[in-house]
Amino acid sequence: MAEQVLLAVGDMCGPAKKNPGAAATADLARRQIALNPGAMILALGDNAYNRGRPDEYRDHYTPSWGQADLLGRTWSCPGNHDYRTAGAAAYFQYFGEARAGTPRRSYYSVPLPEAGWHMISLNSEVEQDAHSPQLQWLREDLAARRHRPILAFWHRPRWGSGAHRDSKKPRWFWNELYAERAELALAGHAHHYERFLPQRPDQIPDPHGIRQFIVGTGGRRLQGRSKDTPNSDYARFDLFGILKLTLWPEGYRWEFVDVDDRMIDRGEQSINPRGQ
Amino acid sequence: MELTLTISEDERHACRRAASLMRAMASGLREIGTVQEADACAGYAATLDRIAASGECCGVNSDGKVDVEQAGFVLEGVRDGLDNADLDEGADFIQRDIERLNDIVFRYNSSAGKAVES
Repeated sequence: MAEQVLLAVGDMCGPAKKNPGAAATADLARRQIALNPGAMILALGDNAYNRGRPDEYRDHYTPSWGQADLLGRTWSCPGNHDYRTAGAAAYFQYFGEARAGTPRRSYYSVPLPEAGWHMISLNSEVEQDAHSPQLQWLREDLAARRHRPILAFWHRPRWGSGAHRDSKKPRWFWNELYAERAELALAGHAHHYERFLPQRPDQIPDPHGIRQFIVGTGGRRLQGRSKDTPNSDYARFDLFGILKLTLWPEGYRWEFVDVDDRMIDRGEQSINPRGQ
Repeated sequence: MELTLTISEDERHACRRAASLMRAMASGLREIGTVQEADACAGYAATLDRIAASGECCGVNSDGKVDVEQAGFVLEGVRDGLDNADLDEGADFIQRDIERLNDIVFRYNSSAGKAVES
């Protein structure tokens, strides 16, 4: 069976005092890649604290997550800390246009031919409402790839039980993605792990809705629970780790692996039904 | 990078209210001897006051944008605390203000992206 493995995590690198887990999660990614040589890495934003400056990418990201064996297989989306450098210029320069987009067009999509999926990187840190260029692009991108399973990732989660709680703005992404029966939405921003049941944009549970993961467990100091959120099915606030997703044409499997290689959360689901 | 942003009446109102809370926070922090944090919150308040006092158009630079974002993070803590204490109305008001502050941040980011590439 054709499969594509993705290793997703955000909120990784920075000064060791405040980012104590970054080296360990990078090492975990290496061990996972040894087991899954074709794996791709999704960096879910806030990759280099505190302001996403060139020297912070050089001094903090490059020594761990920015080594060639990891960087060469990384696709990214920007976080709010990346935008503390105007226009997130350092972020875009570091990852390059093919793996990050550009300051003006900071979203892109990538086909995953092995698995038959379509992957979309969005930018939750700029305007994203109905008339924004980003949402118009998303509509066109989705229309051109209809009938493929869809995974989208951006930094700021729509729903969350940890720090920052919910963010209303990504509802625009959710509306478009749900209309096209997207399967997965990945985010970071909050420094914990959380998995949601598939749901509609209005938080009604729907087995054919979008399943959201928060994976802000890449190294920045972890944060605790701040509220109970509907449809939150599993959450951990005490572990650094990576979300491993295995995609194939008919389904996907998720595994949250901590830095001691323990399988903390695991499950499997079929893709959503689509019209022909 | 200084950019001229359009600021709505709702956003100016949110900045005005957020500035009040930042000043109160700065005052309390100063009283308990945490000077650095007090100065930071006073700086956020000054930036928010300036935006609140502006007309429809306001010049915002990169540091000012970060001040607005940081004030939003501080307000998230206040919101969570009020919510935990079942002081729901205050938590709801602050949540709305946080969303308006974030709107300013997103607008700045969008404009900055266009500016650095042109």
